Amino acid sequence: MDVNALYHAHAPALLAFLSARLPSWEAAEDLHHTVWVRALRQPRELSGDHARRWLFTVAKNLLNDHWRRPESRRRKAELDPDLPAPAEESPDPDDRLARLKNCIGQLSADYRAVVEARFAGESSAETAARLGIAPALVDTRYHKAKDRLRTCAGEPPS
Amino acid sequence: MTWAAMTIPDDPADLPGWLESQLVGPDLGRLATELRAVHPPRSPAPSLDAVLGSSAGAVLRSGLGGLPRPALQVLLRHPDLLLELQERVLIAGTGYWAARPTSEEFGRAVDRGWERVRTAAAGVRVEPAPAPVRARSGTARRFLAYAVTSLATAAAVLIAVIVGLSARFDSEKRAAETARLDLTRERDDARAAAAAAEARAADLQAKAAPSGWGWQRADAFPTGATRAEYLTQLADRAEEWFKKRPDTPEALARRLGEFRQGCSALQFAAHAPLPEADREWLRERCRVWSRRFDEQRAQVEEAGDTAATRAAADATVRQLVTALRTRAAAG
Repeated sequence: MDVNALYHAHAPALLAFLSARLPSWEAAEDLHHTVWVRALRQPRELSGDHARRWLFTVAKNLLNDHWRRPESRRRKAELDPDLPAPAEESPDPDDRLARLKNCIGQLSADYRAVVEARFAGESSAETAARLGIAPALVDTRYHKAKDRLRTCAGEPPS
Repeated sequence: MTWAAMTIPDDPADLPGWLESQLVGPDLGRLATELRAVHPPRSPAPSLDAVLGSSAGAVLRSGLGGLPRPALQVLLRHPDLLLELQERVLIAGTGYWAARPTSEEFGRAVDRGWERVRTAAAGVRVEPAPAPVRARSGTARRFLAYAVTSLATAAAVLIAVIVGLSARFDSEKRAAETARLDLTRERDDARAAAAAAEARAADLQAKAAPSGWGWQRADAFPTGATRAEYLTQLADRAEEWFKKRPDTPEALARRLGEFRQGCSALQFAAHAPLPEADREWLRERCRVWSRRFDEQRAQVEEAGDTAATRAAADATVRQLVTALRTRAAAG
């Protein structure tokens, strides 16, 4: 069993899977590591054709355990009283969702319409035709809306 | 924090490739959150099978290029389906998806993970294979056949002989299969042990390198730096915390202890490049951070919850790094 080859065959997919389902990159790397430590303990599971499926099953079980832990549900970092919390320090996806919803809600209806359209895969030309406005105006509104969203979410405007 | 959704391409022709990159990259979770903020869940949500329709197989084999655009747009409006699709394509792991390029940063993260796995292998004990079920001995089978033959009629003798031969053949076949499984397990265990030995050697080599990290390094407190450079370097050194991810309570307690010693070094250093106000601030902050590391160390020693304590320590380090960088930038 060539662990190096197995790792490089399956790790990118496992890591992508875990990072999409965990609140922080560090948590994804840690859980990913745990999957491989378990795999090292049970090399027989990696020797067959079902290695990838087995690794994902372990990953899903660890994810379930992770989200069942009480501290995962109340993941709030203790903050220095004199420091503003940077965006990276609120990794809880529910927190981020609430913050982004709030930012979207602060946009004007015109700006929100072009953001909704682009976030649904619509091109500027299609949005312009649907709304009966010039494509350049759609682009301008989208550009300004992005800046406002970035500022609202704590990211410098472009 | 950047918005993944703001990179959605304007050109519809680019949409399938862009979405494929999201599915195999590290940002799908963030993208899904951003899409949820704009497209609140609507019920009834379509099923993934309904969205993919007859293209489901083609998506696994050759990506999203053949998926009709309305289907791609449904996926964006229902981001939970994106996560479901990701799971499907990643587990299938077909050549097309495995060959999708990812960012250099993501590649570096994968390589970093391998280094950790190599190191961890040094301490891994391979679980022993379950005791194989031994086949009954051929002697017992032959005795049984003999007993049968002794009680049978002439016609039955012939049948018993056939049964006996069959049983012997069956027994030998099972014994051979057991031996083959034993050999395979022994080979697996030997290979795992070899991998562990190789990783252990790498670990020892790493340990032989000069020790000291973070604020315990000899060059942690440069004298010839400007104020901003000095504070930035303190932040850089503190970030070395993230270079190792201890997996056991013992290792985490040791790592926390090392960081805590660095805090002491920081507390007593002269900080020559800093004006008095900065020194005061740094020492006051240092006391707060030290208290937290002490608490966290006590926590992991008492409760042994490595994951929770490491997450708390990560948060503290990120906060102090941010504080140092903010102070450096403040002029």
